Amino acid sequence: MAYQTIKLEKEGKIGRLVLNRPEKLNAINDTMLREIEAGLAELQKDSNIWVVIIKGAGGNFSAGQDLTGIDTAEVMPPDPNTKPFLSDLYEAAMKSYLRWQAIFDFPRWTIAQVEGYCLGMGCDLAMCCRTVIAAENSIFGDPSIRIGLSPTNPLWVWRIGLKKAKELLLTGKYIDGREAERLGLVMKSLPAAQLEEEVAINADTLAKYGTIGGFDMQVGWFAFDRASFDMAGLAAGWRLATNYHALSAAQRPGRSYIDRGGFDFHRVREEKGMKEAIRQRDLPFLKHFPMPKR
Amino acid sequence: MPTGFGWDFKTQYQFCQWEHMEYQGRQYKDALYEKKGKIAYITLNRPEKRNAYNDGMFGDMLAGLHQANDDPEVKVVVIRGAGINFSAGHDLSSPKEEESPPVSPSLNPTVVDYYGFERRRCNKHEDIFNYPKPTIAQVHGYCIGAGEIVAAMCDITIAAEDAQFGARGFGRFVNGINNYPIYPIGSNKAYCGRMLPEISGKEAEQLGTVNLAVPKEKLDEEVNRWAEMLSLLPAEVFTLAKEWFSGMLDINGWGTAMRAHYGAHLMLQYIRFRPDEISLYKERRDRGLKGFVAQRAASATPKA
Repeated sequence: MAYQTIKLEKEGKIGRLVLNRPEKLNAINDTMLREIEAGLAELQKDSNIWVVIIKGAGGNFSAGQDLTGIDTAEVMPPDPNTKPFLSDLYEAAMKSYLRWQAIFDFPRWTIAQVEGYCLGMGCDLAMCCRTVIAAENSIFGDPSIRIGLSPTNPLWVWRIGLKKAKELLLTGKYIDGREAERLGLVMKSLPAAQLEEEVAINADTLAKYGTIGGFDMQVGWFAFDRASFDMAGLAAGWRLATNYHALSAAQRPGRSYIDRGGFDFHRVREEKGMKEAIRQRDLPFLKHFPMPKR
Repeated sequence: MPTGFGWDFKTQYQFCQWEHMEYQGRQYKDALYEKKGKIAYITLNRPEKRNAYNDGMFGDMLAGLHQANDDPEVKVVVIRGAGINFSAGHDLSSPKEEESPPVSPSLNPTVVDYYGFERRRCNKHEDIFNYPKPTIAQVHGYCIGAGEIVAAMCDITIAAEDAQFGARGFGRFVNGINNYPIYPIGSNKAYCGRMLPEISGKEAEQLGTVNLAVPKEKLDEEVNRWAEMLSLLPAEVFTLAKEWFSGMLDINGWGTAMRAHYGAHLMLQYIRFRPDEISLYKERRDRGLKGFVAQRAASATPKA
């Protein structure tokens, strides 16, 4: 299959899914999300592939969901100024939940190889991998609350605990790879120059010696793992997040903070363009939390 | 009655006690209420008692939360302590008629009474966790027992590096985390942390029970910086996201953990002290409260 926004590479037992919109910092639009799903499905069909590395082209993992409004119906809620129906918001959010849960359920060993930006939906993708290995100067965070969207992924809370998840998600703060390692968001952070090799070593190890019992065991074991996650409340937390996300997407002028001087992302994007909207989203917070150095 | 989001009708956010604590015409005394711009400060104000919680201080604090909720201009609430510390916990010298300190066994309550009472007592803390606006705890000096819980219930906890959580000689069933199941920090840390009688603000930061620790002289500035920043966020969405976090805790057994907490307190009614153990009630009667505290600290310090 020919892909426009990703590349698939196979090398022995290792598959690589490369997010490939470097000029857009690998922002995830509808096409890319569909191709990620298709790419994973293609790799899954090949039972010779034991380990999948997900990475980004051009020095960034992914800057998150594409917020331009073009080809983004499935990755971001519609402009609340258009007064969308709540049923549409909930159905879209539910669909999104199911597909992300499916990505999380991908039955191979997955490693996210993170450098540069790993924000918002990019972080979701990285967290849905079983292991994250990151460059020290990569940048993690989910600024969705700054544009009035409640976060959608409970894995934040699972990985770094309630106190820190609140701190990051309720402020939209950005952290670097070192801090992400300290918090437990990523397994390991190391200088960017060593990233490729470290990930390759890990993948190779997993491919050759990954699980006692071989491929059958690797796949079966994870199915049991997933059952235990859901029994511990992961799926319920995810659905809950989905519902609050839909509700936050319904916050519109006439019904919310936007009337009381709050930031209206869609309005600014429409009037002054995407770059300015992103700038204004982060500007008030930069003086409190400077962007980590890259 | 105004509400926090600028509507004219009274809302019931969740069942909570601050909602029933009147602030109109209130003379704040044991905790002070002050508004500066978008930020409301609730200052625990019994410095001569190290801001130990009695019914009066709880009442004023809850009224302050009520007032801050109802005021649409208030975007963020800061809870802090006057004097040398944040809070030394429940005031063990309170008269036994008060509901804040542990129930004196001499009151001999029935289990049914006790459960209703426990719910009132512990829900005050949960209400802070469920509070609809952003909250910050500004912790300096001692932060012990109930003080630790209040600090942990706030969204953001900022401590002075030399703050002291917990006190030598007192068992810590809280680690700045209450009886949460696993989420606030990793379960292993939570369990190990409970074995530490006292930790500094800096250690608490490493453990993950506070968001950050800063030098004492920078504490005010840092808290104000965070408060100002939180005030910029979309209020409704902040509340929705908080609901999600609280919901995730519910899924993982927050309610059950709170029941366990009541149960553990109920247990206190049936304790019998062995000869080498130190009884609060007996020591307080014989040596006074300070004598009891000193005795506990001395007995808990291993001989070198």
